[in-house]
Amino acid sequence: MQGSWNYRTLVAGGLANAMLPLLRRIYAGDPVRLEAAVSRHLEPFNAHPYLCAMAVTALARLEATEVSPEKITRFRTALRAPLGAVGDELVWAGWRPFCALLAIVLFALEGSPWVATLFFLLLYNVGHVYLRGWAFWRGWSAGFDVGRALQEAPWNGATRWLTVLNAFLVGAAVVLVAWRTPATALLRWEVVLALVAAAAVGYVRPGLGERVAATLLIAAPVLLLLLGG
Amino acid sequence: MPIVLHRVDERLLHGQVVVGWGRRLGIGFYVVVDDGIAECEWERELYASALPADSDVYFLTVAETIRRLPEFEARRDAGILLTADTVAMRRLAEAGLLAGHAVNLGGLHSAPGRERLLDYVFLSASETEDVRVIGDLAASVSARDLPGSPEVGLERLLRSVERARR
Repeated sequence: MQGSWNYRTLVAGGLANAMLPLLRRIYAGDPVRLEAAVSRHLEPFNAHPYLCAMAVTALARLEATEVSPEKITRFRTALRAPLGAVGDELVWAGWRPFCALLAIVLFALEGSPWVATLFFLLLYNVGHVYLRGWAFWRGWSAGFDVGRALQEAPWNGATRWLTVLNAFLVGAAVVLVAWRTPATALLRWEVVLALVAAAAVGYVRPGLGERVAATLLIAAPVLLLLLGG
Repeated sequence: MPIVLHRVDERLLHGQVVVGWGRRLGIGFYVVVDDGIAECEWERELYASALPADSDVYFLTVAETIRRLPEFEARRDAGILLTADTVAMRRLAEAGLLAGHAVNLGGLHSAPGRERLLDYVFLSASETEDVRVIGDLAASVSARDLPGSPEVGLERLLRSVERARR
């Protein structure tokens, strides 16, 4: 989907390419309308890369049911909003940090970087592949009703809980990492320097400080491996 | 509480607005001012599904917005008002709704006839004129895509228009 990402059309190239097999079937024997449909879907488009699958099938459904091109274009424009916002909220702000934090906690308790890494990759991708699959099938069955399908999605109750759980896991991870860290490892000049730098950035640019602190927290287990052994 | 952000963004309710601005400002409701969307049910439903379940959204025409504004001003939570283009925001400004408010320009992307002013602001000649009028009627106009990004004031935007047109 993001293979031809660019500032002008964003993911439109990926979207049109993914729709191509469906469009070829819908407009079999009608090269003029096929070309018009492909150029329609090459117009700028953006959404969350996983939920793009929903755009592929929902738009193909409209093409297959002979909806007017103007209406398809309006639908396509409106589609960017929920597919982007729901995906960002669910995956980037919810599921990914949840899996990463759980892996950090697991590492702090259990101690093997391989187990924690494997755990993260497996857990994250189960959710990831499920979401792509759900989006692909649900998009086709929903057509115009993508909005309702998203509001009735099976994970809807969970998004709020993910935020709460993530806040809890950040706390747990900080405590566990600090507890696992030998005092000698913390007193090394690299660590002190990193903390001073993070504090300075946080003071000068508060927004950026949060990101630096989060990065440091995620980097802490790696630092531990390199410094503490 | 009044509306705390007046924004022109052709994507209306999307990740940058809902997660980027909405979370930062603690937003409870959104007012989407767009004559076309206000009259189309599936479009309203589609845009509304971009929002967290605990926030309210109103899809209104320009005329309805002018009438219902006092109701929003009386709310206890903070809101964001969005238009997809400079024309709708200009009509709100000309109705006197933006006096004393700051207007924010966000995602107005590349299109035929538009000049690039910033990575996320492209304006045509008529849109530039709209922005000028809004600037005269509102407290201020500036561009900023996300709360953490630097703000670019109207003066600088208009200077880059002149540079782009030369």
